[in-house]
Amino acid sequence: MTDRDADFTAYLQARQAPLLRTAYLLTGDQHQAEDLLQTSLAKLYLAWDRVRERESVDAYVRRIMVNEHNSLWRRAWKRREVSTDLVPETTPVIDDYDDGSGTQLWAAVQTLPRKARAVLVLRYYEQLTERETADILGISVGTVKSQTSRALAALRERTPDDLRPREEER
Amino acid sequence: MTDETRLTDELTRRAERVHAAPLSFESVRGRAQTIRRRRRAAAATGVAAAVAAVVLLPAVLSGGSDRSAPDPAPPAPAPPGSSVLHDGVVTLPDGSTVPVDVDNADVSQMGVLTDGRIVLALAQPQSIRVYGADGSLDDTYPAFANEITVSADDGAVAWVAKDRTVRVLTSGTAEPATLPGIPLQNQTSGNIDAVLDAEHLLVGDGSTTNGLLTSTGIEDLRTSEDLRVQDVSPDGDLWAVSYAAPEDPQFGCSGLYDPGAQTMVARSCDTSGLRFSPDGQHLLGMRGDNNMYGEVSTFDLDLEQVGTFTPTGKTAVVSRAGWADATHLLVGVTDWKLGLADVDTNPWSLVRVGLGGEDPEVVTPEGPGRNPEFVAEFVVSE
Repeated sequence: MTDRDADFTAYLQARQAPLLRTAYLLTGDQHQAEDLLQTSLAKLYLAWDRVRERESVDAYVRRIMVNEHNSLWRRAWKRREVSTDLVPETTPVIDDYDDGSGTQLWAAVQTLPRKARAVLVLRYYEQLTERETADILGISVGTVKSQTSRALAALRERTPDDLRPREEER
Repeated sequence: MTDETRLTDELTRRAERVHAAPLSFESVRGRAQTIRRRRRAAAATGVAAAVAAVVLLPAVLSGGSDRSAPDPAPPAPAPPGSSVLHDGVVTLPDGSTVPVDVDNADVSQMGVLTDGRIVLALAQPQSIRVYGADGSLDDTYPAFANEITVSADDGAVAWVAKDRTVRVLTSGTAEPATLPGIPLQNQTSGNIDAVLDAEHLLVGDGSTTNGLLTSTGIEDLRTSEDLRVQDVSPDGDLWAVSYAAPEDPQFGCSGLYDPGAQTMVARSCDTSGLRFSPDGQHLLGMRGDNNMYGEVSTFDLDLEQVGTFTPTGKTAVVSRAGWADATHLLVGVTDWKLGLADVDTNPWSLVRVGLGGEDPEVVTPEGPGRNPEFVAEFVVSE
């Protein structure tokens, strides 16, 4: 194995698990997440020599994942997947840690358009700053703010009243 | 609990449930080889890159993931080099020739489609002329400007028609398709900066590439900084770009932009007009005025200079240059001071030089020609 491949393998082993989680949140489907991650890592491998600053590789892969997920080809292919204002009717999975509200919220997240979902995942799961999120998505900080605001508003509208934050909790 | 905290908690809870068998290095490298092979195959056969991308998708549809290492990649077909128009004859990369009834003085650009048709942008009158593979004139289309843009795989060529709509002629199809125009103020038209494939064009206002043109219209193109696309690598992974920069107010700077990562991956303020080699591993660049350049240089993918070819003679200049193959350039050379405008006394020749600018080999010996400020006696295909 060359030094280059060894270097890449070390990164792969260290980072693929957290990257898969992000891919899952973007896609909402484990099989699609695995495919998205593999494709994104493959593209990273092809570009490995150009990614000089190793500390920024995660950001580079996130960009590839988000762009790949939002890409023209995949959107065209997945035309049947339409964003909707309606929360899909699915059998709720409720576990010890979920009183049902989490399942409803997750279902609502999946009704959001891909770009809005990506903003929420980067801001509230990856805990990136508005600036970092803007850099990855290739949009302005102002657009990140407005998309975040709109996405949160959409979630509030699509979540049952009893799941909305109560006044005493604010 | 706030909306934001509730959301963070739920996303974290969902993410923590996700477990999968780890991806092996071999499986990732296998996917990378598949991506590279399909892109090359698409480029070589003239199939649009979009098709290559779409064939990857059934794996997603079926919910399967391509974990098995694919078969070893077959040898990539030799990518085509440039053709040259000189004295009414187009010489193709394989050395064969096609006579075309045209004067170089009228020609600003040339493209050769994979089906063999030759497409010329003419200045007088502003039009696009399409010749068959045998050199017979197929058709002439009135154009808004004497400019064409050719896809990296030579599968499609695009121009702005006189009515300001965009036309795209694809290899194997008789007539160009019509796409919406690129509106700008004052009844002018935007530019076609790159043809990704027959259905996807990068367009801009002449200084910045800011749109993706398809049959349904223009979609905003977001890049990490203002830039203008000059060329697209054969695999589509990199764009050669130019951008305004204080380091060089006259010519600006050049860069390599990764559209997937939306990042500039290399920069240089020492060259302009970057164009990818057929294998995508190098670029050529020239900087000059009035259709004349002092030298032609080659660069690697870090935009580090690999070599330079400077024609011999104090007033010798480069007129046009292109890639003969992945490791050689074709360069039209003349001497601008030894002739006068409208008098055929400038000495012109075509040379073939290596990547490092070494071992210039005369392809077409010196002969008389016109002032290089107005005429390119050797037009190298886009």
